[in-house]
Amino acid sequence: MAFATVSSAERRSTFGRFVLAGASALALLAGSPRDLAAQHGQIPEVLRQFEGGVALAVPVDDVKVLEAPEPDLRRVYVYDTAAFDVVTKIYGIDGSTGRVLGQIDTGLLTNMVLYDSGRKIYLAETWFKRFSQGPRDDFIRCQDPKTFSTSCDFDIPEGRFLVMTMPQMTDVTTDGRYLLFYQFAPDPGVGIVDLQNQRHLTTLSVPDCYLMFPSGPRSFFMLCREGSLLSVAFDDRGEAQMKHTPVLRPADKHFFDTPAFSRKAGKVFFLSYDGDVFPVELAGTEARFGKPFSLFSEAERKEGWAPGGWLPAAWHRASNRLYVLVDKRAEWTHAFPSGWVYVYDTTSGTRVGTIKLEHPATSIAVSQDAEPLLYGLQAHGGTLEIYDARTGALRHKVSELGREPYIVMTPEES
Amino acid sequence: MLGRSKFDQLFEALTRTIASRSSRRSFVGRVGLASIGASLAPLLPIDRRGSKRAEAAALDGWKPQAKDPMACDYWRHCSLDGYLCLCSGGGLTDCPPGTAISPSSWVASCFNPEDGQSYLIAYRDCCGKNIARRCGCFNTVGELPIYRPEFSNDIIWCFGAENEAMTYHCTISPVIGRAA
Repeated sequence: MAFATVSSAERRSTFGRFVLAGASALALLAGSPRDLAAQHGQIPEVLRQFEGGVALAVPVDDVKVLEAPEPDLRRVYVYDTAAFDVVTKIYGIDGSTGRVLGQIDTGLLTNMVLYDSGRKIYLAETWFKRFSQGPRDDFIRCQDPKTFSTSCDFDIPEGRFLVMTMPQMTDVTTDGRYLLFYQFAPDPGVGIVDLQNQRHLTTLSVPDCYLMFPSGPRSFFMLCREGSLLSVAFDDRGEAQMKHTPVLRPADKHFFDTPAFSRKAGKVFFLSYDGDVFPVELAGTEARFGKPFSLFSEAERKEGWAPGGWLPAAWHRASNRLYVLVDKRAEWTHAFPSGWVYVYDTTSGTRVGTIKLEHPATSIAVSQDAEPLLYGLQAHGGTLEIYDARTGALRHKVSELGREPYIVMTPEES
Repeated sequence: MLGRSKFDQLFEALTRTIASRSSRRSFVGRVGLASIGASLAPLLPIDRRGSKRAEAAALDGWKPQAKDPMACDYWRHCSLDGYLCLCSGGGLTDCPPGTAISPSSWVASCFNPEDGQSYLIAYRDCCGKNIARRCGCFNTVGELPIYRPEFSNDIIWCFGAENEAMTYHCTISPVIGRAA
């Protein structure tokens, strides 16, 4: 009501004074003393207290855009898939301090790939011309881990598989030269992208197989419907050779879509819904099946213990430790969060530790440094909890990480 | 944990057969797998997994009810991981205005506690708009990994939708037959 008594002319005048004050304040910050003196007539009374050599209690600030520090092996990225929203985001976080370092804006069901200890970041993206509608555009972007800005951007065919983000639906070859992306329709295929020349090389037709596990500079493996792996070798012209391994997955088991995988070590730890681990070593076009081991005793299985989550397993290469999200659960709750992380020595297949999480986690990751951190992500709470992976002690909590962050990723050396 | 019923074995054998007989270069052979499997599935034995006790979004499992279709534990939604169209201008079996209905689907066998029967549901996504973000449900009964896509609810099932609309809005739960 008080505002209503002010005439429109007075309101314009008031507005003008604010504008003038703002402009003069800018001059105070940016101009030299001589410049300021020349503008005295424009400075409102309220600002004259800053003139004439009066000491300020708080120094005049400088402003700038920060750069994040060089990435290290404790850098962790959290991707908010936002339940299939067309607009999503990735948070870059310093695992040592729990501080958010920056944000990457992304589109529908982005796949992020980290390479060379996180010094290189690739994003496989999908966007539409008019928000959620119009022609679709798939493309690859490179991100600078210090400036959090785009350092490359080029087109690929519109074939990315739009599925809830599974890390191994996109990856790069062991030498970092080619990016691989999975295509589901109209035909099953693997797109090969030449990162050096920033162009799509070809899309290979593949049998009924999924996920890609790079095993060399020009080779990778896939997991097939009937339980075998598919070995794929290709050359720089895009010509490929393929062969199936013997069956790995027993017919009475189902594997999580998101096994623990180390590109550097060439090791995959497939995890079955009921709690068996199937280690596989990959090198070039050869796969060696390791001895499967169980996460639980028979008594624990009867109690209902089983793995569960979206990213339920992470492997620390230097210590051969496999971290797995587990809980007591009913059938068909394999994608639900778990309250515990059990730790296994993958050399012997024995359990060597248990960590009770402060809050159940949907996804986990582990840093690859000598004193590893365990990252536990609550998709529906939007919080990342950072633990000492060796002791289970909680170090940091990072909250407000979007709407439904499902993906947590750490880099490894190449 | 994962009981291996005859339903599992038969369905796996069936889908493997379909997969091997379909041209893997064919869009229909790939994306149509679910609907082909679904059309044959009523001939298969009843899967009673849906009758087991559980609760939506809880580790103690699935406990279906037959009263409120706008609730996530309504029996038809047993493998619906997404948003109910009922809450955003659509119906139990109808897409909201302005969306495009997908001809492709994933399937699940859901137990109806009202009549004690299990039914096959071929979930259909309504496409071409951004996520509805109302009545979000996270049900995973019968959900299988991505190498069995016809049972996977993690895919945007908008293949073949009008205008090539590949954005996900919400999901409907039509019955396509009895599971026996």
